[in-house]
This record gives sequence, C-alpha cells and structure tokens, in this order.
Amino acid sequence: MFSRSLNGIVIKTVAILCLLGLLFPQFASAQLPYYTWYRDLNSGMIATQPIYVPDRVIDGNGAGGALSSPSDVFIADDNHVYIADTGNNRIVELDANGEFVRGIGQEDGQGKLNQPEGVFVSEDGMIYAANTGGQTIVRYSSDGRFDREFKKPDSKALTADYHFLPTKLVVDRRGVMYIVVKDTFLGLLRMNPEGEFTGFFGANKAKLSWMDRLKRSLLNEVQMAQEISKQPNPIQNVSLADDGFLLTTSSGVASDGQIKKLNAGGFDAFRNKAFWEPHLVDTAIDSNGFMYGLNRDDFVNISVYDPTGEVMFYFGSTEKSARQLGITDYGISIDINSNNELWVVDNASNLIHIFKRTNFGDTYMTAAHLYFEGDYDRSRSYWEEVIRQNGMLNIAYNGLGKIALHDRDYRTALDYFKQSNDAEGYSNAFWYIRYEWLKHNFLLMVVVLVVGIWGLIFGARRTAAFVRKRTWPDKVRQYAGELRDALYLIVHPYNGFYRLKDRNVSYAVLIFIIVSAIGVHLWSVFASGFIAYPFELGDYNIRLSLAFKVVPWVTWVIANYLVSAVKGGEGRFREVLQASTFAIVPYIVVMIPATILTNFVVQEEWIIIDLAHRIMWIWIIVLFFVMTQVIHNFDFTEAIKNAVITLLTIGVIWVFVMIIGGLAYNFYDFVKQIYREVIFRA
Amino acid sequence: MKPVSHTEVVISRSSTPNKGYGAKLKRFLRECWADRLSYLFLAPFLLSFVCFIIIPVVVAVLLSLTSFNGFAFPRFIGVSNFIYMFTQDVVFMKYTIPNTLKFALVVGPGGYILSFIFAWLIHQLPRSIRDYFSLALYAPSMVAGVALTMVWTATFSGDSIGYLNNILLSLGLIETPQLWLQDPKYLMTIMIVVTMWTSMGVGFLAMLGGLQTVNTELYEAGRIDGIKNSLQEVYYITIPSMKPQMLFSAVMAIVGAIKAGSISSALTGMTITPQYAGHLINNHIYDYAFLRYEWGYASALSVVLLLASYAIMKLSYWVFGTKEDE
Repeated sequence: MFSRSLNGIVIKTVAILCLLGLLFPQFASAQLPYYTWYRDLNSGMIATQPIYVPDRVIDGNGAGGALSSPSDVFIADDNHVYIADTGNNRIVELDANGEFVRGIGQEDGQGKLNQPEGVFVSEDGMIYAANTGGQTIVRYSSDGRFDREFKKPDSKALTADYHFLPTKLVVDRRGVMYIVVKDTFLGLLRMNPEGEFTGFFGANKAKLSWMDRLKRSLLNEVQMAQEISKQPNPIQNVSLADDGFLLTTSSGVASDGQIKKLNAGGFDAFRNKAFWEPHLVDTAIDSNGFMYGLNRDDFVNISVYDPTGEVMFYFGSTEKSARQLGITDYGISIDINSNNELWVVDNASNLIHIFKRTNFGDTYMTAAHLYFEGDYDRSRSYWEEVIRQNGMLNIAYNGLGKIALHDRDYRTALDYFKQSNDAEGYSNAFWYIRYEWLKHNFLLMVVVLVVGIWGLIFGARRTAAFVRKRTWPDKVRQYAGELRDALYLIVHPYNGFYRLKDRNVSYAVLIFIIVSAIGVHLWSVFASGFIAYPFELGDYNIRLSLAFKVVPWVTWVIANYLVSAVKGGEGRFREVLQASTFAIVPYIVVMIPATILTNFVVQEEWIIIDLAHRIMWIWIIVLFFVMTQVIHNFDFTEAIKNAVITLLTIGVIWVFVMIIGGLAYNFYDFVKQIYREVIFRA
Repeated sequence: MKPVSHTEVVISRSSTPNKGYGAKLKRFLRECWADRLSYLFLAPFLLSFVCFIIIPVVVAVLLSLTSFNGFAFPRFIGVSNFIYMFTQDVVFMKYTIPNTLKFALVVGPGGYILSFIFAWLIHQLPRSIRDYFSLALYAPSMVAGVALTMVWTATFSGDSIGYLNNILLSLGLIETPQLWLQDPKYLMTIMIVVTMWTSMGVGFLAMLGGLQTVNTELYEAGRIDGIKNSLQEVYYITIPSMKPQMLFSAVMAIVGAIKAGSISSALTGMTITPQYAGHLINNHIYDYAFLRYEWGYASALSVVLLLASYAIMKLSYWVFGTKEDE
C-alpha cells in the first residue's frame, strides 16, 4: 500500500518534472551545413534561403553490399538510377525511390565488368557501361543481359600509344557513342553502333596567352622544345541534354570553355564562354535547360546555371572525411531526375547524396524557366511569390519589369528595372515613357523650348545690362572680373594664360572654382540618370571617386611647380596654382549640362554624353598643356618634355607617399606596442 | 554700255531721302533696268538655279504638307506628317535619330580632322609627286559605289575567306568567322570606318587648295617673329589663313555625314539594315519613298533633313567663321 502510494508519487513527480521539462526545451538546430549563394550581377554574392536541401543518402547497404568508390550516376527517363559501382565491378540499378533493383555485370563470363567508371542508358533501354579496367564498352539489353562488347576501334587515327581507357560515355539517338577517354587531349571519341571509329569530337583548344605568342615568335626551335608544351584541358565528363546537345565538362584553366554545349557539328552554343570554376567535374542538365555543375571547391560545390550559362546559385560544401548529410568528400558525378532531385556521387565516402528542391527553389526555377522561355504572363505570379519570399534577387525584379514592359505599363517597368539594376531595360522603359510624353506634349515642348531659349537670351541680356549699369563694390567687381577671365581662358587658352602671368588671382575665386568642381562632381553622381550609374548609389564609393580627381590635381600642381623650377620655368607657385585651377573650369562647364542631359537620354543616344565627356577631358588636358607652356614660358617641345617629366614625378610622389605611409604606420604601431608593454607589464 | 556708271548712280541716289515703299520699289526697278546687261549674264545661272534647286525644294516643302502616293493627286493634310514623325514613327525616333546622331557626330568631325591632316601631310610632299597622292586620296570618293561593293564587302565578308575574318582567324584572335555586316553590333562601326575612308572628297580638295593659297611670306615673317616649329606654324598661320576653306570643308563634312545613307545598303545589300542597326535618316526617306510610296511623308523627312543641315551649317559658321573680336 505504502510502496504503491510512494510509487504513485514518484511517477507523478517524474511526470510533472517531465512536463516541466517541456517548458525549457533544448535548442535543436536544423540549419543546413552549407549556405546558398545567389550571384547578383552588381553586388556579387548574396546569401539566400536554400533552393536545395539534402534529403537522404544511399550507401548501398540495401543494394547487395555497400557501394565501393562509385564514380558515375545516370538517371534514366523512368527515374531509374544507374550507378557505376567501380570498386564492386558492377552497375547498380535503383528504382525511383532508391530501392535496389539489380546489379549488372557481376556474372562471370562475357560481360563481366572490371572497374566500370561510367554508365549510360539509351532511350531504347540499352545499358552501356564504360568498362575502364577492361578497356572496353559493354552494352547490355534492357533486361540486363550481355549484348555486345566494343573494344578499341581499329583505325589508323588511333595509334598504339592511344590507350583506350573509357571513363564516361553518352549515346545519342542513332546509337553513336561519345566516349570520354582518360588522359587524352583529343576530345570525345566517337564510335558508331557497329563499333567503328568515326572521329574525335569537341576537343578543347589550348589557350595561348600573349606571353606564349611572344615566345613563339621570338624563340627558336631548340628553345621552344624546352618550354612546357601547352596542352588543352582534357574533357572530364559528358552529359546528354534532352534536346540532343552534348554537355562536356573540362576542369583546369578557368578561362577556357569549361562547360561546352555542343551540337551535332561540334559547335559550342556557349561560344567558349568562361565559367571561372577551376575544379569543375561534372554537369547535369534538366529538361528546361538549367544546368547543375559539380565542383570540388571547399565552400560551394554545386552551381546552378541558367540556360544561357550564367550562374544563378551556388550551394553545398566539400570537406575531407565528411560525415554529414549534404557535405561531400570527393564529389565525382551529378545527375538530376524528373522530380528535380539532384543525385551527387561521393567517390571517397562511398555515398550518394540526394538533394531535394525546396518550395522556394521550385518557385524560383519555374519562374526562371518561364522567363527564359519568354512566357512573361505565366511567370508573373511565380516572380511575385519569389519576391515575397526573398526581396534581394535581381532577376525577379527584372522578370517583373519585362512583364510590365510587355503590358505597356512603363512606369512599373521602370521601377522594376531600377530595382534589378538593369540599365538596358530601364533605358527601354524610359524611352517609352519619354515617347508617350512627347506624343501628348509635342507642341507644348516646342513652344516651351522656343520660349525658353528666347527667354534665356533675353534674360541674359537684361541681366548683363543691369550689371553694367549699377556700380558694384570693388571686391565683387574684382571677383566677377576674375571669374570672367576664367571663362575667357578656357576658350582662348594662350591669351588667357598669358594674362595670368605676374598676377595674383584672389584665393576666394580659386577656392570657389575648386569647391564648385568638387560640388559638381558630387552632384553629377547623385543627379545623373539611372543609366549613368546603374546600381545602388549607396554602394558607390564617393570618396574614392573624388580622390581619383582631387589627388592627381594636387600632385600635378606640386610636381609641375617643382619640375619647372628645376628645368628653368618662369612660373611661381602661385601662378601654377591659379593656372591649374583655371584649367579645370571646363569640368564645371561641361559636366553640368551633361549631367542634366543624362536624365533625358536613353542608351541609344548615349554617344552624346560620351562625346561630351571625352571632349571635356581632351579640353582639360590641352589646357594643362598650354598652361605648362605659357606660364613657364617654354616652347612647344620643352613643354612636352616638361609635361612628361611632371607626369613621371606625379607617379614618384604617389609611390613615395605610399612607402612613407606604410613606414609611418609601422612606426606608429611600434610605439604603440612599446607603450602597451610599459603600461601593462610594468 | 558704260560699265562704271552704276556706282555713281547708286551713290548719287543714296543721298536722296526715302519716300515710302512706292519710291523704294521704283528705285529698285530703275536700278534693275540700269543694270539690265548684268542680269542677262546672270540669267543662265539663275534659271538653272531656280529650275534645279529652288523649285525642287519648294515642291518638296509643299509635298511635305500632303499625303501623296505618286499616283493620285496629293491631298493636303497640313503639318500632320511632321506631327506623325515625332509622335508616332517609332522607328524614326528610336533608331533613325540616334543612329544619324551617332554617325554624324563621329563621321563629321572625324572626317573633317582626317581630311585636314591628310591635306597637310600631302602638302608637305614635293610638288612633283603631290598631285598623284592627292588623286589617290580623292579616288575613293569618285569610285565610291563600285569600290564599296568590291573592296569593303570583300574585306568584311562574313565567311572565313573574307579578308578581316581570315586575318583574325589566322592570328587566332577569333575562333569562328564573324558576320561583320549582318551583326547589329558591328555594322555601325564598319559604316563609320568606311564612310571616313570615302569622305576624303571635296573637303579634302578644298583644304589642299587652301593650303596652297597660304601666303608663304607669312611663314617667313612668322619665323622672324619667333615661331619655332611646324606645329606652331599650323596653329598660328596656316589655320587662320585658310579659314574660308576650313569652313567650306566643315560644312561639306557635316552635311555629307548627315545625308549619308547609301553606305548601309551598299554594305549589307539590303535597304533596311538588320534590326535597323545602320538605319540613317536617308534610309528612312528611301524606305518611305520607294518601298512604301508615301511620298508626302518622305518629303517631310527630307525637309527635316534640310532644316537640320541648315542648322548645322549655321553652327559651323558660328564655330569656324571669323568673329569680330579676333
């Protein structure tokens, strides 16, 4: 009785404690072991929510023994998965759920596999295995029985030292095999269904740098022979797209076309586009033309490309001796099934990771698919959903912008294009807005223009007359006169600079000119049309851009004075300073109208702005040159010499300042350390 | 006839005070009658000027106010053509104007500077060979039509046999032949290059003539006054002395650049270039006149072209012409 009641109390206490425990739950983290990055054209990488999450792994324990260094995966149209289980000398077939169906090529006799590294199933169900160890291609019928073996084809083109070590292959509709052979630079080996060699296909080209070209033209044969010969990257892997294109993957020098989308003629649809991924090993392509690349980089190992070959997402991660779902050790092959699951083969840990697309990923990829198809109407709802879930992705705004443009809703399109930093789209939308405005206000514009110009001229004359009539204080008259001289100088440089000699222009005017030039620069950044600076202005490094203008000017003034003083120039420092200040007046004069114009001009007419800027810089350079000539009383060639030496001096000053800066910082650091040592240790 | 009487007559009359328009007109007619013989000499020119310049321009202006298809009698529609041009004609606004602008801005000043440089360089040559060089440089603008199709289409041919493709391929700079003349990316640039080559025409000759008229004594005087090198000579003596020729050349260069248009069709073999990449205002006129038979609208376009040329000519007079304060 007693013990029972005690029992009851204990049980109750335990139960209450357990319930109390529920109030203080342990933190359980469900974070993915990797980040997903979205690549934005303007601002680089943005971390975003995952588009793929690791779902499960297959270790092959249910498949008649664990996998042993699997090296290729192929997913057939019926979602059956074929894995080249190299270490176990077999091909494993799994069904759509990953359940073991059968092993192929294990029986002794014909068709016994020896270290197969590649597998492919053609449309008619024939199973091809790249039997690397046996140096053959073995074909099985769809029920897994041995059908035929292909040895190294007999051809004059294939010499004795060409080792037929097939590692990967695809077979097109006609039964022609495209075989990746280990360690050759000749491209894919093409073999017809009868096993005859029909040529090499899609070889990479060796890329020659300018240095190599120079060497080739300078060195003689003996010297050339000592150079390391330039070899093109070997093809690592090949996949077949639904539309018959062949996707070859080559790793190595990043600037070469690492992913090539080859048509039947061997022409690369990406035109040797650079992919900048040095460790690319395999590519998969889904039915919509999106590509998935497998890398062996540490931080990202799967990249998602749009059909034009631009990368959209990176995710995944590589780690040596990884034991975590979703992290591969030595990724070797990737494929995608019709449920958009990515199957990634890990050769080192003998596992297959399966990544599932998230809801967000689904929405995004559908939207992107419709976008690239040009089906803007249907993509709208998807883009809106994408933006609801993540407002950082440019392409979504771009898609909505294109839809709006298509719907002739130009204002909305303008906003969207602005958000997606797309200058071209913005220019298009803006053109239509301007056009619509013109359509309604054409006559008004003409009238305003005529009246405006007339008014301006009339007003200017009136003001001039008024100014002339009144008597002004001496200071004002002096400043105004000096400013007028500056304006006169920029159109008559020789006379203008000559008038500056032996004369002290007031500092107020000089400072006014400098400050207004800086002001005009700042204003030009923020008041320009979007097309001029098609990105977030918050990201614009205004200090740097200002430094690029101010620092050269300041060093020019100093260097020009110093150099001329040494080389027998007449100019005083004051003269150099005021002449250099007057020489930047064209910047103010041209930038103001040019900046205003950027708000009304579309990309097609951008040449006006470019031309204005170019003329302005030439003008300024000419003024600086004439200044050197006149102020120091040099003749033409002397002035050229002087200008060149001045430019060199500017360079020397910069280097010097940088070195001094570095040393000064070191010294400061040294003193600081000693100070700390003394204060805290003593 | 006494040839000198005229001035005396004018001088003697100018002292008499004006008495209204009637008297003015009377005086004008009397002067005309007094100078009747000079008008007789002027007549051939005036007649042909009226027939071949004034009347066509006036007719074009009149036609620009009508809707005219070349068969039926022109129907008067006021300024609708012009309003349509700036408010409805997307191709005109979106391609023609920007293209013409770009083309004229580069080819006009570019061709002008080039023709001056070449004229000056050739002028430095000994007299005995100078003429051959000027002929060689002037040749492109004489044989433009034939030379264009032969030389430039062969150069920019889109197959691997085309000169440019061949050279670039053999240098390894490109991997596949480029369709230079069909690709909207390149067409404009090629048009500009080719036009610069052909534009060494009248302007170049005028410059060369101008260089030869510069008084050589000026150079000697200049040398005494302290001119040290030929660049200074050019700046201080040559250019100021040949201002009229420079002005003429400028007008020819810019107006020529504006009214260019045959170049794109000669290069591409099509009246309308791919994606309107090389669509200049003259192509637009051709399009409306000879493909669509909207001659009223085409006339309106040519009137706009005329006005634009006039405005630019005024501008060049303003820039290059002599000013009072110099």
